[in-house]
Formats: sequence, C-alpha cells, structure tokens
Amino acid sequence: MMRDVAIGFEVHAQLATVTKIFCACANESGGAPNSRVCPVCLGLPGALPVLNREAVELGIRVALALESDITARSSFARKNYFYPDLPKGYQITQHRTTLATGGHVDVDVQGTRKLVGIRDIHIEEDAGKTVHAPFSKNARGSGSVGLVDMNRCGVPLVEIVSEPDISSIEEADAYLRKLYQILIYLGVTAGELHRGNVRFDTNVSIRNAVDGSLGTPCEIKNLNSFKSAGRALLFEIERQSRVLDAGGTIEHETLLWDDRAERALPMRSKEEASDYRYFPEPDLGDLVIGDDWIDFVRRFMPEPPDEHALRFRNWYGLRDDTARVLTAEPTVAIYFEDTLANLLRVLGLAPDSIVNPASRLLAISVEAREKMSVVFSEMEGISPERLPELAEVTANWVTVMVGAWVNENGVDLKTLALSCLPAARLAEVIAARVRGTVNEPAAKRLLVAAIDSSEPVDELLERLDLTQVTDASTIETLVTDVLLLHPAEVERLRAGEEKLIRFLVGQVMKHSGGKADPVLVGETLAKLLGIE
Amino acid sequence: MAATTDDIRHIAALAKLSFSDDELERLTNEMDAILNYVAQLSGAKLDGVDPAFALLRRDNVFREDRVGEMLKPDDALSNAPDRDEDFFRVPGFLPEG
Amino acid sequence: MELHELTFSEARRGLEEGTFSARDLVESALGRIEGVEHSLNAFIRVRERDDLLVEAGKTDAARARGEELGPLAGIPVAVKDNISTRGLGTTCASRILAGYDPPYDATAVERLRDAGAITVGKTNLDEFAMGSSNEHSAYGAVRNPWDPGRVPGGSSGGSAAAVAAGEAVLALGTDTGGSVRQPAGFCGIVGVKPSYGRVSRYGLVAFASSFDQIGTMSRDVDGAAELLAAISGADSRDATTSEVDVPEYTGLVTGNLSGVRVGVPRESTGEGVDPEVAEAVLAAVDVMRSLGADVDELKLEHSEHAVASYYLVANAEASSNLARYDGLSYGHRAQGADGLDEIVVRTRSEDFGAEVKRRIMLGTYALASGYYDDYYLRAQRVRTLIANDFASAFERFDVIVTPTSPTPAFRLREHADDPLAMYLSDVFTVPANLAGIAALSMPCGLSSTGLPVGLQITANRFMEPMMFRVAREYEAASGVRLRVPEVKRTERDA
Ligand SMILES: [Zn+2]
Repeated sequence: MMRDVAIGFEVHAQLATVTKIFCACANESGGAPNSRVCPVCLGLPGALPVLNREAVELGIRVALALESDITARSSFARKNYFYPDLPKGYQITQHRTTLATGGHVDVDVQGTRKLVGIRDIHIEEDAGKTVHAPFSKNARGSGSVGLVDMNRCGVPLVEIVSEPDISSIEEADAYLRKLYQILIYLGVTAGELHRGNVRFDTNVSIRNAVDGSLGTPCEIKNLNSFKSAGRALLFEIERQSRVLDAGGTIEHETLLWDDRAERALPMRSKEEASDYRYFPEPDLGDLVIGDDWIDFVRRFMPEPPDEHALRFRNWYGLRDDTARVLTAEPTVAIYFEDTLANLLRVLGLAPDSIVNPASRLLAISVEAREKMSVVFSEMEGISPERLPELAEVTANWVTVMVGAWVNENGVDLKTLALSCLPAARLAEVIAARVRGTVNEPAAKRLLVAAIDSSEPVDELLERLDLTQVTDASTIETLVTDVLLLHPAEVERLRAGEEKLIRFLVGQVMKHSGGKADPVLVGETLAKLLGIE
Repeated sequence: MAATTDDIRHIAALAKLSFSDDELERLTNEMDAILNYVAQLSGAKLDGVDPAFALLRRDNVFREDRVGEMLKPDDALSNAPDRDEDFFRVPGFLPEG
Repeated sequence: MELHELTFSEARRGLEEGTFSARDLVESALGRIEGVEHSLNAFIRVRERDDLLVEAGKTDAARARGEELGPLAGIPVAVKDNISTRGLGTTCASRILAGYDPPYDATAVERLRDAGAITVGKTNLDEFAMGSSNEHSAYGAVRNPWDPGRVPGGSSGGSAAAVAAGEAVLALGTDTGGSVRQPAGFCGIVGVKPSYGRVSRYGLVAFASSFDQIGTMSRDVDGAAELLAAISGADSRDATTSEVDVPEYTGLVTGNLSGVRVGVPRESTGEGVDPEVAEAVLAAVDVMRSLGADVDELKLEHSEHAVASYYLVANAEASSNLARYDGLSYGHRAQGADGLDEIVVRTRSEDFGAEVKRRIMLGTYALASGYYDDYYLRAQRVRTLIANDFASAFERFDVIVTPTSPTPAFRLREHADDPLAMYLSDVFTVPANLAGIAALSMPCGLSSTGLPVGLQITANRFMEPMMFRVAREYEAASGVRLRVPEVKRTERDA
C-alpha cells in the first residue's frame, strides 16, 4: 500500500566565488590535484580562517530569494569529526545561529501550487575529495588506498535545509528542480550537477496511518542528480514500508546512496558519528548583517525566476506560458530581453540607451531594471498593442527558431549568444522579418546565414537575394505565368476544388525563388481568378 | 558526577584515542578528580549571564574575494607521510568486503 | 662582564656604539649554548653556526654602511617550537610532528625578521604548550638555570631558560594560561602576555584559540617591550587581531608613579601562597607606593573559579585544535596499523604524550553530548563573570599586582602524579587569559633558597603602555634585575 510520507532536503550548493571561503585559494574545478591549496585549507598547524565577504553576499541572495529572515547576528561553529579529506578534523559551519531562517520555495506540482518551508540557510566549507585506488605499490593489509585531493577543501557551500513538508516523490522532484532553478538564476552557483556543484541529502519518514504522527526519519546522503534523488526516495519509502508492513519499527539510520547499484547502504554506525561536539568557532568573529548590507545585496541581485516571469508579463505583455518558457533558464531570459531591446532600437521604437552595455551586464539586477523602466516610460511612437506583439514575436524567435538551431547543432545558447549571434544581430534578423523585408522561409535562411557568417545582416540580405518581392506588377506577372502553366488545376479550382489555391500559391512562390510575399500572391490569385 | 570507565571509553572513541585497561583506569581516576574540582562551577550564580563566546572577537572581519598565494604542489605535499604523485595517500581506506 | 650577560638594552647600545658586533653577540650566544645546553635542554634545534654568522655578518655590514636598521638588528632571539618557521621545523615538542617543516612562516616570525632579529633556534616546551613544568616534552625536560634539579616552568620553559641563561638575548614564547609568565617567574626574567588580539596568531600552532597569545621574554623590561612592539598589530591573516594602534611600549624612567592606581587582590598574599613569595610581592608593592602609586586592596569576586573555567574551555578548544593530527597529510604516522581508523587511533595514541591525551580527553568530555551544558557552556558563562570582574576592577585601578605563581620553581617530577595540583599552580596567571587582558611577570627577588620570585602586573586590554610603565619604574627603583646564574653541570635524562 502507498503510505503518507514526509520528505525534507538539505541542499548543498558550491558558491560561485573567485576564492575559497576562508582562504585566498582559487575556487575552480579541474586541474592538477592539490594545486589550489594553502596552509589554511590544508589545515596546517597554525593556519587561521578569514571569511570571504562574497560568500556571505551570495548566501544573502539565496536568503532574499527564498524570503527567509536574515539573522542580524550569526556565528560560526566547529563540527568535529574525523575524515581523511577533512584536514582540520572539523568543518567550519554555522550551527547555533545561522545566516537565515524560515522562508519557502513555491513549487508547482501538476498545476497545483505548494509551499515548501525552509528551516534554515547557512554557509560552510566543503571537504576535499578522496579517490579510491584499488591497489598501491605499498598498500598494507586489507582494503585499498585512498588518494586525497584537497583542492575542494574550503570551497564555500550554502546549505538550504527544508522542512519535511514534501509528501511525494513528484513534489520532491519539483522542489529540487525549482530550488535548483532559483540558485542558477541568482548566479550563486555554477550548478553543474555532474561536477557535484549541487548535492542533496534527504530525510524520509512515514506517517502513521492511524494517528497521523510522523515516524522516525532516515537520512540518505550523496545524491548528485534529480534522478538519483527520485530513485533514492523510492528505494527508501519502499524499504521503510516493508519494515512497517512486517510489523517492524524504523530505527534512525544514515544511509549512503550508491547510484550505480541503485541502493542505499547504512553508513558504518560509529558511536562518534552522532556526536559532532559543535561549539562556537573561536577563530572567527560574529557575522553581523544590517539592513544597509541587505539592501546593497538586493540592488545587485538577479531576479528570482517567478518574479522575472511576472515582470515579463507586466512590462512586455507576454502571455503567462511564454513568460514561463523564457524564464526557465536565465540565459534564455537574458537573451530574450536583450534581443527585444535591440529590436525596439532597430525598429526606431526606443532610444539607443535601451541597449546601454553597462546596464546589460547587470542584465536583470535592480539597477538595470530601474534603468529599463525609465527607458520604457520614455518610449514614443509605440502603441499599447505593438509591444506585446513584438515581445511575442521575439520570444518565438528565441525559443523556436534559435532554439531549433541550437538543438540541431548541439551548441548551447550562451555560447551562441556570446559568439556568432549576439542579441543585436538576432534583432536585425527579426527586424527584417517584422518589416516585411523577408518572408518567413527567407527569414529562416537569413538566420542560418547570420549564424554562419559575420557579414552585416543587410549585406547578407543582398548577397543571398532574400528580399521579399512585394511589387504588385511583378507578382501579377508571376501569377499570370503560373496560371498559364496549370490550366487543368485552374479549371478544377473554378469548379469548386478550393484547396487548389494553396497549390497555386506554392507554385508562384517556387517560381519566385521563394521571395514573393505569400499574402500578396494569394490576394493576386484571387483577384485574377475572380474568386472571393 | 562520577566518571565511569565506560564514559571515558566513549570519550576516547570520540577523540580517536585508545588506552590500555591500566591506562584507562588511571585516566578515569584522574579525570574524576578534575571533574570533581570543576564541579565547583555549579556554585556560581549564572542567572542572566551570557557565555563569553564573542568576548574577545571582532565582528565582521572579511577577506575580499581575490586570489592570493597558493602553495606549490611540492610544498603542499612536502610533509606528507605518504604520497602518490600529487595526491596524499592514505592506506586502508575502504572497509573490508 | 661577558657578552652573554648583557640585557637587551645593553646589547643594543653596544651594537649601536660599535663596542661589539652582531657576530660577536651570536658567537657569545653559541658559546653559551655549547656551555650550558647539556644541563638545560632549552633548545630543540639550534641553527647552523655558519648560517647564523653569515646573517650576523650581513647586519654588521649594513650597520657599517650606515643603513637604517630594524629595532632588533643583530639581536639573537630564540623562538618557541610551536611557532611556525619555514625551513627550521616546528615540532611542538611532540612526536606527532616529528620532522614537520611548515611551508610558511608565522606572522610574528616575519615581523621578527623585518625588525632585524637573528633567530638562533627553536626552544623546547611542554608538548603543544600543555603544561606548567616543561617536563612534558618528547625532547626531554628542560631544567631551571638557577637550579637544574628544578623545573623552569612551562610551557615556554625552553625560551625562559635560554634567556635566563644567556643563550639568547630575547625569546618568543606563547601564553595560553600563564605559559610565558610562569616560566619567566621561575627563571627570573621578564615575560609578557599581551592582550588577546594584540599579536597575530597566524602560524602559532593552536592550543586554545581564544586564549593563545605569542608573548615576549627578556632579562629587562625594555627588551620584552621592544620585542612586543615589533610583533604587534593587526594581521589580515588572523581575524582575531585587533586594529587598535600599537603605541610606544618603551620609555624613559621618571622615578614617578604618582596617580597610578595599583590594586592588590587579597588572595595575592593569602592562603596557599608561599610566605616568601607573599613577602617579596608586598615589598614590590611598597616600592611602587614609594614612587607615588596609590595602592589599595581589591576583591576579584569570581577568581576562585578561574582555574576550573580555564581548564574546561581551553581544553575543549584544544580537543578540536588537536583533531587535525591524524598522521594522514603531515606529521608522523604510526606504522604497522591496518585500516584507516586504526592508523589514526594508533598514531594519536602512540605519538601524543600523556598530558596532551589527558587534556584532549577532558576537552572532548566537556563538549560531548550530555555534558556540554554542564561543563563547556557553564565554564564559558563563568568566563564572562571573570571578565566582568576585571572590567569593574579596571575602573578603579590602572594595574593589578599579584605573584606570578604561588611558589618559586618546584622540583622535577614534584607534580608528576597529581595533574590537578599542577593545574592549580596556574591560579594567578589564568585569569588574564580568560579576560584577554595584558599581563607580565618580572623578578621581584630571590627566595632564601636562591630561586627567583615572579611579580605579575596586569593591565586592562590594550593598556600595555601602563603595564610597561609600572614595570619599568619598578625595575629601576627596586634594582631587582637578576644576574645570569651560573648553571651547574648536571646529567639530564633524555
Ligand atoms: Zn587555501
């Protein structure tokens, strides 16, 4: 039978700072082992931590986005345990008072909105990495050797601890994806799951069917993808259910997920594992965060996705579904907004300042938003209907036309936007279509050409001879020629076989080398054949 | 509160120390004497007294997020009891089976 | 007078006036080391003679060229072996750090070098600075130069013995609960524990992070003051250093302490204090009075709890600070162990000495689940009370005067079977560390058995100038500056 479950998560995200949290070593990935270390992150005797301001600010961003209460005075603590890649024998984290408490993530599960509560948000240091080597020249006794790389030691982490508010695997998946989307959006983490930039621990308990009380939770650690989180939850819910079905009770356990074997194994239950002996870190002072600092962070903070979608609807009159598609990833949203701004400029509907490069760098920060709104309020000669129409057209280009090219060619949008197809260039292609300079098929050819070469778009139009034929007499000549070539079809059309009009339009288009304005061709045909 | 040998054995496990039975007995007695001595603290009037966690520390001391000097791998590994190229090597890492 | 008998001030004057060279001073220190080390065991490592002479020669050459030199130019300084020195090794007198050579220098060592000092070697200590006798060293006990049958005190016993015996002019020690002052007192020299946050701890191997400070040792007040000035000040690598300005610590003797308010706690001369010690301290207070100081009695309400609070909090921090010694990425690793956990446990159990293990155990206990509130947390709250006591005392007084220790130097192994008795001998020194305030020890006479008696002068946090002023005036007026003792030759245990 399916039981009621309560699921909570601890999500760890490596923060995208330049340096580590307590030392000046580079925070990067890859490279030679133990090449980004110093006395501090190696835990050498006598070395001391000094807190990286940026790590705090990225943590504040997360807290603001999740509407958490930022703690006015928080502190750091030592979590004591032994592990080969934890060189100090303790992890510096936050315990008694954390960066923020409370807050929520809004999750959409099959059309129903659900709020998942946040218990606390804190910042801490990552541990190193141990590679297990099956044998070694001078391995002794049993077991293999571990090869320890301390490069990851001291990489800043933000840990987001949820309440056990999640009641199904589907909700769990939606929660993780939504939180991940927010973290990516805020620019606080590189977010590469395969590199372990974001990792999940989960706790699962089953609700008593009779009195509704929550059972003993079990923890599963080491989940590195949405998929493994789902599998681990299924595994654990089934495991606990089997125990309960057999009349057993759930003992508190910490399990380690093995993704390849698709099962969770209990971590060795050492007596010391349960007693971390937290105490205040004497090497670091308190973290005091006042309103001024919070405001400063807020000003330069990217917009969280839900607010972003809302703003797209309010400012550009986009439909809700379009706004959501655009804001699924910040790259797409930024590219869209850049392109739209450029399009308005190219069409002469907005001043050049709309694409002020400085404001584009902060694309979606408060600063940029304020600048943009000024520009919008000063825009002249644009009707209330025109902006939503252009916005939808731009959205369609970014998600469908460019999206298709990106999929076919296996290039990611960010690379494309930064190399062959900057927003300004895409805007010129769209403008050619919006102005009617090219028809739809020609516009697609123009897009591909604009990506493939670096020629200016107007030169491309000329060289490829893509300009749409809109001259009435030229089109009339083309239509007359086609009618003469297809007397039988003309006869059948006159007899009432209306669908043949499309055949004839197609023939005219073909005859024009694809350049004729299809609307004008249809009208001319109708006129010459004398049909409505 | 009297410290028992079992308490001390548990604490030793947390501290990653091991003691022979003789050592353990002596240590239990020594710790018991010390714990008895420090038990006097329960006589202090502590109503409304905060712990001295932040007594001597400065709030909000930060580093700016700029890369500084890092160790050359050979310096980083120069004190390693055992190494494998640029890794620290630790034996017996995986439990049997 | 031989060169090794000179105080810092005399040595510096001699260098400036060209009476002798830095090379001469280094030669004299090395000669003295050769003569008395066998009895004292103050050093764990002495630098190569040739390296030292080359370095001294460079200073002399620079002086000859008229270059501007640092305040400690050419002065031989000994550095306690729990302060990181690149290329010189740093063992903390522990087997677990045998062969460890830090890839960096402590900030204090960098500043020492910038001031022109010549580091002669690394001095012996109680393992990881845990002890009050310097008997707990993997490199053997240090002996007191005044009586090799007695301890030099600890944990900076090596630094204290080296300075007292003329093996170095100045020394760096470290003080967590009295580890500079108590051995300074036992060896008859000046030892300073600066205010918490005054000197960077970067590179000082942590024992108890919220107590540890690097301190200075000299046979005269000005030497300790000048050395402290050289190493003090904010450090971007230690978030607990203070940005309070470092003022002048040295000054002219005026023969006048009028208006200076001196507090003498009742327990200074009370129960448990050796009568000769009490007498010497009272005589010192009389000297201060005769210089015009206002002397009054004071009561520090919670000082009876200081030792208990100190041992819980300091050892709790120590248990965490010493967790890193697991034989995995540096230091010594136990051989013949099977499996990771066993290697870690065997390394720690074999390579830490008994006193270190005792303190790790006590500290782990104080933090463990079920004990935290009753031990660690309560001790931290008592610490607040003790700090508050001092805060109100310093509203009434500029300095507080006590003995440094209740007795002069005790015999080797006197407290070997009673660790608690040893802890209790720190009763006068631990309060300054609990409150983070400044304190120094200086000689105030000899006992009838010819052992130095230490006088402790305590001042409020960052009030080192007042502390040094009182010490300087007392030093000049009392004439109690002890000679370098003749060290009796003895066989010491390894
Ligand atoms: Zn580092």
